[in-house]
Amino acid sequence: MEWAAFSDVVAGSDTELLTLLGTKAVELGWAKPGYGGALVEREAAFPTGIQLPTCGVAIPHADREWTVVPAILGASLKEPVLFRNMEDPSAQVAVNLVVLMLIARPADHLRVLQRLVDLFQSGRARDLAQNLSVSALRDMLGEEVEPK
Amino acid sequence: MSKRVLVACGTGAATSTVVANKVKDAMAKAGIAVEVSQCKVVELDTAVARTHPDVVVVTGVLGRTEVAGVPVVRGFSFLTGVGVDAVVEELKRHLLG
Repeated sequence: MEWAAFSDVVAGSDTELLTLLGTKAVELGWAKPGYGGALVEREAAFPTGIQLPTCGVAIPHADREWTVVPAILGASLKEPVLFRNMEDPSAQVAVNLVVLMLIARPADHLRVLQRLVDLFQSGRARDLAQNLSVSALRDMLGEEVEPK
Repeated sequence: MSKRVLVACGTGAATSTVVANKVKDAMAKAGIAVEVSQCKVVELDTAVARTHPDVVVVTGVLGRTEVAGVPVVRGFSFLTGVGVDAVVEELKRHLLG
């Protein structure tokens, strides 16, 4: 499992941000070329913006066929970016933190999602958004998501 | 006899599994035995006809309050924790009522 964290990212829209992060993942060798477009399409069909009491989070992903190396990329945003709301796609969420999952196995997707839900319910998502780093991501989302 | 809960999300995969686990935990805590199954929202009508649930939990906005007479509860709270107590009470009401 690889990890990356990008702080104070600037993007004008969810599409721009997903394209940017998708391109990073491809450059790092963790996703196949075209991944950014796949993220944009998936987000349009199944939005992932989540409104928490103290911040907005998005958890974009695409089909696991795009994954070369399982990884989690975190991005904190300099200014919030509007994503459509996962619960109600007609609404929008001002997102401060993006956690992008590159998953190779459904069981890993489930484990990471469960850890994300624990993070949401712990009220620490805002801390993570404000102090994003690879070690903070690992602390909160765990290393054992893909046991070797 | 166990009550049956059907959880539906967009893709019928990870999100509904997390919600299904939360529903199981919450109902176990309330002393209510439940069997939980999952489906995609687009398959909801056929899944209800097949599994005859006592209640349906959806992770999004369905725009329907019932499916073939089965009450629909919005369960996104199980992911965020916001307002989850009210949702648990609503589920208990449907399952015990």
